[in-house]
Amino acid sequence: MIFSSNGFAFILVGDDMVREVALWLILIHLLVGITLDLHALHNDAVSAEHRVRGGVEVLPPGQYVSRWSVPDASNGYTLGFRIDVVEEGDREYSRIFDFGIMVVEKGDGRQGVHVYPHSVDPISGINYSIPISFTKLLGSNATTSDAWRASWGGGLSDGFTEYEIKGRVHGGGVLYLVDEKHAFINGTLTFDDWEPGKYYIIVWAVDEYGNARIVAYDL
Amino acid sequence: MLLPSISVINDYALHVLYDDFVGGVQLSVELCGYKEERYVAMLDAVLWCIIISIGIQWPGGSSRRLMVATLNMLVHMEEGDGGACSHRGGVVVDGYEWIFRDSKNGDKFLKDRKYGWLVIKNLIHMLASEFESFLEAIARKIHAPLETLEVVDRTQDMLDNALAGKISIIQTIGLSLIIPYIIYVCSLALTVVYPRLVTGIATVISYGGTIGIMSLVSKSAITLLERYRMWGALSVLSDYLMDLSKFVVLATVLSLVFVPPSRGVEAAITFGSLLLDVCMYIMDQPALEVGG
Repeated sequence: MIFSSNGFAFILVGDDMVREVALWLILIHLLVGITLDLHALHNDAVSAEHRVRGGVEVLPPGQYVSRWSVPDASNGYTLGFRIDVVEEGDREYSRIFDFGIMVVEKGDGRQGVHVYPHSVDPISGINYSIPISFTKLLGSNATTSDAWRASWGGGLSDGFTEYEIKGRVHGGGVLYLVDEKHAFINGTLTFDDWEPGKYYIIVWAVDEYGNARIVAYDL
Repeated sequence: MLLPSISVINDYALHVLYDDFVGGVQLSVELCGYKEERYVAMLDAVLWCIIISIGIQWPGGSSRRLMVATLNMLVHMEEGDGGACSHRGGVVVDGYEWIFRDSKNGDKFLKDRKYGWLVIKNLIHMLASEFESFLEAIARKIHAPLETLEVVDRTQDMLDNALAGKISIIQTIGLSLIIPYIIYVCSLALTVVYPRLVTGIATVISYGGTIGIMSLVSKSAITLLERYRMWGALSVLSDYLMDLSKFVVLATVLSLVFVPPSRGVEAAITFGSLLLDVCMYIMDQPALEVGG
């Protein structure tokens, strides 16, 4: 646009070489002003970035499996599990913001889904969603549904949320926020048509800075 | 005699337990390794890393180290395992980190046509707070009610509604440069052709506007991003401002091509350049679009 508007100016001036050179020299004068201003603004942005980075952390909450009973014929293809979520940072907003679980079936379906934390970003007030890519996690598309998903969502009952999974995979458990840095997800899930490599569990957790960790677990 | 034993646990790409007697002392070694995407601060990037945890246990003591390596470099080492290999069930297929405030999301945030109004709103708030204190001072002097302040609020709401969802932060900065620039260049050309007082005054005012408005809008964007702690967006914005500076220099220096040719050739070049601007807009290359 700058080059084009310069073109319009030269068309307006006409074919007088002296006037055109004068116009170009004045434009160069303006160029110096704009360039100096842009450099100052660039420096402002870099300084602001350094200030911000000095005060935030980029460590997503960790996930650790503390109980896992593998589904097999002896237990009626029932999985019992507990996955702990631990916030790893120690800055102002290093607190667990939300976490959730989903059951997926590998194969047809979608490349991924988005999950939505229970509230707007506490720092900016902006809504955001976390992309969960099945192709990245499992190497292929996968199927899930609302009945196979649950999130803590702010703790519907005094810090914890009970969830229920329905359909070919059924069961339930609890999403529990122990304190601002510790949480866990436990549950029992029964698979009507269990096969090795067919179902996976994906657990996500995000802190108040918006640092999320997404992990897929094989049954 | 006790034989050494090796156990392989299928919860990571590599997870081995090795027990042996060395010099009459029982040693247990645990080695665990897997790949994971992690944010590497020194390179400001989320990269695939190899996570290795080595633990050695002997009677009366133990030691454990966690190492994170990427691009043939050791980027992190700490005592303990940092929880990296603490579980032995639920085979981790894969995992990744997603950071709302990193550069990738920052770029998206700056180019998303939902958030430009935030910069305008922030700018109006910055200016309105100055204006409000000025109005308050006057109102106190004349004992008048502060109804005028409601006008300021209403104007903000109207602008919010008008701009919401239509302009990105990058476009806001680009337009704050290009609109006064076009006015300046045209009034300058008219001053060169018709040297009158009116065109001269317009040129001087638009000269101030060209630099002043872009500076105000960009500073407003920087303040807003800092308040939101969007370090990734600030990083992208600083690169954008630098790119913009380069393209402005290039565009102005290249404008020398307009000096020798006739009006017809100038018009053809200008028309071609405008077409390129449209292409850059479609390709979402804001710095090129403004420079072009």
